[in-house]
Amino acid sequence: MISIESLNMLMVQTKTRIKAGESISGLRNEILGRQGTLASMLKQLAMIDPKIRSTIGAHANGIKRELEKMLSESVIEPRIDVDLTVPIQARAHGHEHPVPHMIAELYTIFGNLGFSRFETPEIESEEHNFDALLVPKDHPARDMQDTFWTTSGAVLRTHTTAFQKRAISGLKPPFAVMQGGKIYRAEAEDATHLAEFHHFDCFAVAPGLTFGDLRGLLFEAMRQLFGETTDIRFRPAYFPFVEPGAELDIKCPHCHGIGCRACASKGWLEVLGCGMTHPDIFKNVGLDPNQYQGLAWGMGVERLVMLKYQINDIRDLTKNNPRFLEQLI
Amino acid sequence: MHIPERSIITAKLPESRMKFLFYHLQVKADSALKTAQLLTMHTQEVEHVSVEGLGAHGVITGKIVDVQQHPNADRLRIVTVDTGKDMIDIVTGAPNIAQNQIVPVALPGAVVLSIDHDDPNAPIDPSKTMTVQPTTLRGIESLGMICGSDELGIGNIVATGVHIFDSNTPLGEPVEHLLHASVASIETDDKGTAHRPDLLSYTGIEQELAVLLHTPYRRTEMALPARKPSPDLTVSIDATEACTLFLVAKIEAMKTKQSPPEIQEFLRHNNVKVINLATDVTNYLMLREGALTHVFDAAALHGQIMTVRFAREKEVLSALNHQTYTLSNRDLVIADSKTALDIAGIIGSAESSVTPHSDDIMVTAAVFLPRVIRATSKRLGIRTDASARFERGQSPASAKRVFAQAVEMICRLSGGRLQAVDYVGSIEERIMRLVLNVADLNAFLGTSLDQKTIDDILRRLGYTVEGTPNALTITVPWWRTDVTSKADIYEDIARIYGYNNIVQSVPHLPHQAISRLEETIAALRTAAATYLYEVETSSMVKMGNADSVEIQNPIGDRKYMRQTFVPQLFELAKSMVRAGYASYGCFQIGKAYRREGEDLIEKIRFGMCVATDPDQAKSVLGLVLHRLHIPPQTIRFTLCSQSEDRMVKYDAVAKIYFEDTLLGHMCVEKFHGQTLCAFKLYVEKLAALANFEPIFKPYSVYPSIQRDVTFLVAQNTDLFDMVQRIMDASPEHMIEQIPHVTRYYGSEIPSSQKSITMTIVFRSNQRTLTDTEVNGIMKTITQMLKKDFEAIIK
Repeated sequence: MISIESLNMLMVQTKTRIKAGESISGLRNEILGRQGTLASMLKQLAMIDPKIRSTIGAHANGIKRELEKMLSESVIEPRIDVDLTVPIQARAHGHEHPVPHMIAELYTIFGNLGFSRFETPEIESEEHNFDALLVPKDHPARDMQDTFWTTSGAVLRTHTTAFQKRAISGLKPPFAVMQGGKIYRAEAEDATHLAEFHHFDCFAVAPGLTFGDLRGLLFEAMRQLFGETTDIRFRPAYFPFVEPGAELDIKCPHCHGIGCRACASKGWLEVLGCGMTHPDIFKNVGLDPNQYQGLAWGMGVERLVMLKYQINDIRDLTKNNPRFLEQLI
Repeated sequence: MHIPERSIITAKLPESRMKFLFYHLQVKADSALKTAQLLTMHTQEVEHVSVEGLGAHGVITGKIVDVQQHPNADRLRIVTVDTGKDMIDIVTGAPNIAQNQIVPVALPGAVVLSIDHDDPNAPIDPSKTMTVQPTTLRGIESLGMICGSDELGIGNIVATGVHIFDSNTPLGEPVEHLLHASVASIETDDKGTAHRPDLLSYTGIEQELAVLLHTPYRRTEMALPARKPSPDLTVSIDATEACTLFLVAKIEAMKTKQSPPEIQEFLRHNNVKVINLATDVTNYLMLREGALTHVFDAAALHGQIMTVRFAREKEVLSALNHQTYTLSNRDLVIADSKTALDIAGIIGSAESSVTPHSDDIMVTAAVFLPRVIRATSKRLGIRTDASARFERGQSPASAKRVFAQAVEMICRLSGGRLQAVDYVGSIEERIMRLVLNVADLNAFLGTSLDQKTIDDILRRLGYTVEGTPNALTITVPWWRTDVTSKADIYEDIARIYGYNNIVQSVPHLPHQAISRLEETIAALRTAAATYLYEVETSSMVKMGNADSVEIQNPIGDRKYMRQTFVPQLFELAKSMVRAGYASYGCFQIGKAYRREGEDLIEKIRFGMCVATDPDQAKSVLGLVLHRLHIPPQTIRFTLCSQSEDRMVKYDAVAKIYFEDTLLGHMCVEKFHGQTLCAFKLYVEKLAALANFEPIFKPYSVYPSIQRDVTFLVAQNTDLFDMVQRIMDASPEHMIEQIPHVTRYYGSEIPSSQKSITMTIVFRSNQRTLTDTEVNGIMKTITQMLKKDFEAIIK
C-alpha cells in the first residue's frame, strides 16, 4: 500500500540503482513509465483513508518530480549498439616540415609587405654567387673547403643572395623580390652546421628607398614573425654587397633580454643580415647609384626554426622523424 | 702613477680562430659591459665579455694604520687595517706595504683569484677563484687578506705588487669602482673585422671608443726615418709584382736585451710569450698598431743584402716553430744573398731569429700582395698573427709608421745605434677624398642630420671635412683603407649616430600577383601534409649517370645532384616501416637537377611515398589532386618498361598521364611483405592543369541510381580505357561517375584474365531516372563490354 515510507523507499532504491550503473532509460521506463512502479503506486491512492490521502498525494507528487529530475539529468543511452566512450583512434596522417613551413610563412609576411617571388637556380655561376656580390676573387669563401663546385665549374649557391644580379639585370626597377630556397656549404655537419640548408632573401630596388625604410620593413616583418611585442635592434656588420651593412637582433623571447641559455646570455638573438645595396652593384649593371637605392636582407631559415621551437641540434631538421615533426607547427 | 688598465679585448680572427687580446682601454672595470655594448651597437659585435678584475669581488679599500713584524716568521707582517667600519688584523707577506697606505682588502667571504705564487709568469686565469677565510698563520690569527694585483686579476705581483690607491681614496669602497677596467675579454666575430684591418689593434678599438665616449684621442705617429746609406746594407725587391715596399734598418750594439716590465706585462696579458727586446717590440706594435715588422739577427746573415724574392723551387726553410717547410717559386721570402730568412708575412727562420745574444739586428717592414701571402699560408698550412694581418693587407702608410715606431723604440729601449736605413718601392700614401652632399646623405639614410652633427662625427673618426653642405670635401684618414665610396661614409655616420636612432618608415613596394606555380606548391603542401609527413632530403646522392650534375668536391661518395628523389623517399619509408610506422607516408617538394649539354636544368618535383597497396596509395594521390581541382578520375596510369628508369629497378612502374601530358611516374616496391608506392610528379605540369579560380556550376537536384557490374577480361586490358568507353556508352551522358573500380585476386581466376567490379553512378540533370531506363543503359554497356573487350559478365 502506498505510504510516505514506501515512496521514500522507491526514491532510495532508484538512487542506488543509478549509482550501480543501471541503464537510465530502462529505469525511467520501469519507474516513471505509463505502467511503471510509481503509476501503480499512485493508483492505490484511491484506496486509502481520505483523511491522509491529500498528504500522501502531495508527497507522491514531490517524489515524482525528484525522480524525473534524477532520471533526466543522466546520460541518454544510445538506442543502437554503439559505444561512444571509445577514445579517438590513431589514423594514418601526416605533418608539415618546419623548414618549408617557415619559408611559406616568410613568403606570406614579405609578400604582404610588397615583395614578389623571384626564382633562380641553385646551381649557379661563380659570377652570380660571388663576383656580382663584390666578394673578392681570392676571398676564402670561394675555397673548395667552403663551396661545392660542379665538374663544369658552376657553384652550388652558398646563399640565396645569388639572385640579386639576376633580378637587377632581368627585371626593370622598381622591383621588390624575395626568394627562399636551398643553399650549400662544403662544411662538416655538426649540431650547428649542415652542408645543405635554406636561406630566405629579399631585395628591393627603387628610387628613394632609405635606411629608415629598411628598418621599418624589417620591424614590421619581425613583429609578424615573432609577435606584436617583439623588440629589435640593428648593429653594424659587414657584408661586401651592402653599405651600410647591419645585423638585426630580436630581444630574446625566452628571457626577455635578461640573458639565458638560448641567447648565450646576451639577451638578444641574431636573426638576419641586411643593408643598403652597395653602389658598385648598381654600377656593374649600368644603373646610376645616385638614382636608385636598394634594400637587401637574408636570413637562415633553419636558424629561425631553431629559434622559434628552441631546437638545439640542427641535424634534427634533416632526420624526418615523425616524433620530431609532429611536435612542431 | 699610471694605473694598469686591464681590459682585454679578444677579437676572434675568422679563419684561424686565434685569440687577439687588448688590455689598454681607458674604461672602469664596472663599465666594461657598457663599453662592449657601445662597440656592439656602433662598431662591431662583441661576442663575449669577461672582466678579469671582476673575477674578484667583495674586495674593498682599507687604510693600513699599523704594521708589526710577525714574531715567528721573517717574511710575514701583521698589519692593522681600517676599513672605514672596523679595525682588523691581517697577516700578510706583501713586500711593498707601509703605514697610511690605502690598499685593497679582502674580508672573509670576499672572492679573489687563486694564484700560483711559485710561478710568477703563469698567465692569470680569471676562472680560478677562492673565497677568503679567517686563518691562522704561524700562530697569529688573520681576519682577511691584502690583495696583490694578481689576486685582483689586474696585474702581476712581481711587476706591480700590492696596488696602492691615492691617499684621498674613501675607505670601505668596492675596488671595482676605483680601478681602471680590469681585463675585459671581448670576442668579436669574423665578419666585423673582415673589411677593417684597423680594428685588429688597440689603436683602432681605442679610437672607436673615444668617438663613442666623446673623449679626445691621439694616435702615436712617427715620421719615417731618413735614408741612411751604409756599405753594410743593400736593400732590394726582386718580386716587384708581389712586394711594393720594403723598408730595412740596421741597429747595432744593443745593450739592453730585455724589454721593459710594461711591455712584458702587456704581452703577457695578450697571451704573447716574452722573448727579447726586439722581438717583444715587434709583437707589441703588432697588437697596438695592428701593423707588422720583423727583426733578424744581423750576425746570422750571409752578406749585407736584404731582398724580397720568390723562393727557389724546393728551397727549404727551418722555421721558428721547429717545422721545416719546402717552398715553391710561388712563395715569397725575405732573403740574404744566400738563403731565405723568412717566409714573407708568415714566419721567420730559426737561425735568423733575434736571440738574447744578438747585438746587431735588422728591422724590416713591407707591403706584400695579400693574395700571395694567403696562398702560401694556405698551402703550407701555417697561420700566424702576422699572416692573418698581412692577408687583410698592410698599406704603405701603415708600414712606414710602424717601421718608424719599431726603429725608435728598439733604439731607445736597447741603447743601440741606428747604423743604416734604406728602402725600395713606393712610400707614397694614397689619399682618398670624397665629396658629399648633406641632402643626399639624409635622403639615403632617411634622416635629417645637420652639417654640424655630420662634421662632428666625421672629425672624431679622424676624417677632415671642408666645404659647404652641398659639397663637403672629406679626406679619409690613412688607416681607413676600407673607405672608398660615399656609401662607406654614410655607414660611418649612420652607425656612430646610431642605426637605432634612425626613424622607421614603410615604403610602398611594387607588388606582383602570386604565380600559378606558387599557388600549386602551397596547395600541394597543405593537402599532402594532412595525410603524409613532409620531409627534407639531400640534393646530393651517390647514384648518377651521364646526365647528372657532378660535384668536384663532394662530401663522401654523394657526388651527384639527384635527378629524382624517389629512391630517397623509398629509403626513408623503409626505415620508418622498420621502425614500426606501419602505414607511413611522406612527401617532399623539391628540385631535381640534370645536365643537358652545357645547360644545367632544375625542375620542381612533388614526390610522395606511402607504405600501402597501390589502390590506397592512388587514393591519397587523388585527395592531393582534388585540392588542385584536377579530377582524380581523369588521371591514367600506363605500364612502362623498366629500361626507362635508368638508375634504379623497381618492382613495378607506371607512367602517369592527364590526356597526352606525362605528369610523372608511379613506382612500387615490396619490402618486408609490405607494399611501398611512390609517385613523382612534375609540379610545373600540375600547375598548368590546376584550377585556382573555380566557377560554380549548378549541380543536378535529381537522385542518382547506382549499379555494380562484375566481369572477367583479359589480363592486359587497360582499365582506364574501359572506364572511358563505359562513360561514352551512355546516351546523354547519364553516367555521373565510376567512383570504384576494384580487382578481385583469387586463385579461381585464370591467370590470363582478371576479375573486375565497377560501381557506376547514373544521374540526369533534367529528371529522375527510372530503373527501367538505367537497366537499358546497363544492357548497352554489358553488350559493349562483351563485344569490344570480350568480357565475361557475371
